Amino acid sequence: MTEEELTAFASWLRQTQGVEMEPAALREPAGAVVRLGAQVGAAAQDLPFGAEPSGFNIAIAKLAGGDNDAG
Amino acid sequence: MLDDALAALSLTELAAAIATKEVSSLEATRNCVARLERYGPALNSVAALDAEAALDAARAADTELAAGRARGPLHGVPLAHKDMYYRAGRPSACGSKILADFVPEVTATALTRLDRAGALDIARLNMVEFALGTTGHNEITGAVRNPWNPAHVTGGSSSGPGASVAARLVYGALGSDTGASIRLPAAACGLVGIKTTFGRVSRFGALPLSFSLDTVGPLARTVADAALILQAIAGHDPADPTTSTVPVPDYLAGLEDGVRGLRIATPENYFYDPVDSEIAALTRASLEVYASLGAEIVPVEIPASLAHANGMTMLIIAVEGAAFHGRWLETRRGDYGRQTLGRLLPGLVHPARRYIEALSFRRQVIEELGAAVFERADVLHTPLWPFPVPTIAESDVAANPGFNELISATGHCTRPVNYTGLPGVSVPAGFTGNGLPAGFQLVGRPFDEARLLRAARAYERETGWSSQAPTL
Repeated sequence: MTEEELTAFASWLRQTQGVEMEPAALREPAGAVVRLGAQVGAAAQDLPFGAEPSGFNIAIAKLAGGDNDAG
Repeated sequence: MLDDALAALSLTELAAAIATKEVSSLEATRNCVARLERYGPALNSVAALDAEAALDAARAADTELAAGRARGPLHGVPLAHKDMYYRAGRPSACGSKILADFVPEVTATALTRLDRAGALDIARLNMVEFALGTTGHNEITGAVRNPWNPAHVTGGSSSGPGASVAARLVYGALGSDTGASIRLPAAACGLVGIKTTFGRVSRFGALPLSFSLDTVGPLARTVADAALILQAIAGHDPADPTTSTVPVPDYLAGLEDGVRGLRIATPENYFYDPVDSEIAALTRASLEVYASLGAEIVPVEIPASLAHANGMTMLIIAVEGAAFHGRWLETRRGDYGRQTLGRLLPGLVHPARRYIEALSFRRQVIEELGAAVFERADVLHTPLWPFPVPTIAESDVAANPGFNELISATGHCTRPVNYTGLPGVSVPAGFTGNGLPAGFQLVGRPFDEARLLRAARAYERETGWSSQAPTL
């Protein structure tokens, strides 16, 4: 991220989350957001239509077999 | 006066000795207190110890036993736990400055169940700040030192439990595991650690990090010890709606049944990709032991979707962690260690869409892993730490550039297990050239901890690594 982007990022963080951070201190967190976000976004291209978080419980119950479930 | 022979007993052996009155709870607890006082400070593994309360509890346990009232299978056995399990009226600092004066009003269900089984809870053990870290560093309370070599890390975040149980200061401990936090310290300290199936053990009264991923489990010296603790804490809890109603089996019943005919999957891809050659050789050697014991080794190809699990887990932890910490991030951000802050901040920023996608992707990964591995095998065998246990100095990355890469690499083999909700056991497997312990991981189907423990026990019985103890 450029210095300008980090400054904008710090401003957004202050306005939306109430967290004050020096722009320079956000370089590593911002990098993590971009890197992980890109990874998740790319993988999610393959998500079937209608996929949602509760599918976890269905998958766990199925793999466990029988009436087992995760919650 | 320290009694090394008494300290060397396993939890299982001590519980039996107390039950038959060969050893009193007071003798065992007095010895633990003396060891905690003597070795705890150098290892930096103890957050708090109330010696008088511990000895009083031991006396009470002996009195009960003398009157014919054994509470349960852990009667009078001194344990201590990661300082994130709340006990009403007792502080729980959770490795932080922010909660230094926090006194919870509730008691964790896991502690209540251990109380019911008769165990004594004699100390609070240090941990990584807010359970968010894999190496064992803590900028607030200091790094916990590995009893095998105090220049090295213990792994985290259950750093104090790892060091304290390995150093024979107590007979077992509860840790927590959101991405690696029981299995890494267990492996680095030469212990057995169980990351339980999501929903197997109640998280009520335990500090949350990620409500989608957090699990509770034991670190112990032997497989039987770990099974004994798990037996006491597993099962549905109305206070934690994520706990399962799946019946809890007898984890000790089949422990000695061996692995003849057990199908053990070995991955041809993903898990070994970033692993140091020494660790890979040691892990593969443990597989040969299984083959010699009659297990069927089944090479499997790990589905490509699993490669996303590590990153998705880190994103989920960041978002859910930031939600829990949001109030303090606004008002007390200066009281966080730099790495903790650096890992929580992205959670305020990740788009909600990415978070939902990361959670939604879990079903696909579980189903594909199930088809690739668990339709062909009973257990998946993998490396654990991808490299030999590093020194405290060389892994002290704090929030320096690249720290996320180290955190990501350390959990390469463990986070997918949290992401999929499956159980995983860390099994001691000898030592690397630097003299530090190493372990491998066994992963099973949901709620199949009993089978994992049976497999772990077969290896333990054959190799005897669990009987090794560090020289303090």
